[in-house]
Amino acid sequence: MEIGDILKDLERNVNDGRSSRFNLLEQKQQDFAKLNQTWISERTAPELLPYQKELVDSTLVRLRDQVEIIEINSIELETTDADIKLKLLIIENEIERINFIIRSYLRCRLAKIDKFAAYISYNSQTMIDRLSDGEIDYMTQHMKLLQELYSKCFLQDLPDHLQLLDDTSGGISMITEPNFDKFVFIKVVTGDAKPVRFNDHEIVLEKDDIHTIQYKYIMKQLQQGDVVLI
Amino acid sequence: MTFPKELQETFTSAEIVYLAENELIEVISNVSMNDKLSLISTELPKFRVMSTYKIPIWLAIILRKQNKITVPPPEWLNENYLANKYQEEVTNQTAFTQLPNNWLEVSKIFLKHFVQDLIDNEDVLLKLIQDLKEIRLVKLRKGLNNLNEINLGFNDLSLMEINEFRPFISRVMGNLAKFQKSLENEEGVENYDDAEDPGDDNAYDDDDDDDDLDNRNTSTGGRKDSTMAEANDDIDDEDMEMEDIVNEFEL
Repeated sequence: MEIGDILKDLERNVNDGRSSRFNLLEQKQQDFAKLNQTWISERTAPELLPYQKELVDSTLVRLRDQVEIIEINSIELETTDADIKLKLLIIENEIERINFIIRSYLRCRLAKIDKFAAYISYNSQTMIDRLSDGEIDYMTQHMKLLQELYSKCFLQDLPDHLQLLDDTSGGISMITEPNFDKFVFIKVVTGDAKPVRFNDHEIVLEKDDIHTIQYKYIMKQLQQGDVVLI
Repeated sequence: MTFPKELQETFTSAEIVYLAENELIEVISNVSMNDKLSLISTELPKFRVMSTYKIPIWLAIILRKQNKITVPPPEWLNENYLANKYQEEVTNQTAFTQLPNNWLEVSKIFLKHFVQDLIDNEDVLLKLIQDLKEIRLVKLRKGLNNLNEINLGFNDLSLMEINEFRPFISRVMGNLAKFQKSLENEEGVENYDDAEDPGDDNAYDDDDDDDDLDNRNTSTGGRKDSTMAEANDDIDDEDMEMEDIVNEFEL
């Protein structure tokens, strides 16, 4: 564990101690709901969304704590009563559920990184900022390996001007870009979402409405949290 | 592959059920448990015999298996309510009746894990749910005539129902948008040649006798107009092409 992590841990413990139990419970439920929503958004959005570092990190810390509880208790499992066994079963079940969602979230991101690697790295710093440190490493290494492979296999035998992997001239770009025109399903979650206006159309967003709409038109409302992807 | 292609388009029904399992549900404890259990997403409170608690469904499933709790069905999961809703669904051809969020998912979970706690006969309930689901799907499929390149409302549908149609709808609407774009581009060029106002996007609408237009206009106005089932009224016989596509789309 690094110093930063230890400090965060400490901070978390202090905060946990200070706030009442009720608040802690609320916090947990909120975090979990947010994790679920993050997963859904990442799965449905056509582009790579910013990495939710804090959320994932705090969930991972909680996961580790629960694993510790299992380890401590399972040592003396034979002597303990069924009640503990049930509790361990519940804890284990929850760990599996949360592991699943985090795994699915990260894998979904990796798939997008693979797909949009060129777009992300040639674009600008804002795109790269959406990646976690690990993901940046992964992306650069993966691209390097791919380029080496391609060039050793066949690219080196081609004329120089045909060797590019990121050629944008000639009308067709070789860089895969996210499809911002993709239709996504959204749900309005607040009462004061601004209507979507484009061309001659206006779409009123009332609370709890579900719409399909092109991603590019709803990005602002998504950022403001007035609507969520479903 | 890091992530299979079928997962990139939509969710699997297991994943939708997973999401529904996170919803809270009211349970009655049969036993008392002396201390709380702190979890990652929530905590399990102290249990007193015969008290009501709200806990996530996945937790209720585990506890129900151990006979620690009873799970009374939600107030909408009974013969009377569902039969009424079915009638409503039949009489009201233009909109979906309001059902609780996730009704399909939750009732599925109930019939699988909490069957013993149901008050009504499970077979009757299963049949009603199936009927309700089917009539809503038929409506949804008819409503697909109304697909356009701008926007559609899907109010009062559960995530499970939406999810089944997600890849189809987003693909078809995406293609329609592409057509529209190229139409507009063409029109823009023509206008430019005629030295008319190139900015007028509506120019082509005047001489456009495609019956698609009516649908488009009704579905852009606002909330009410954009409801999908509305299309039932103006299903056009000429619109055979879309009908064919819809029919091909096997569920």
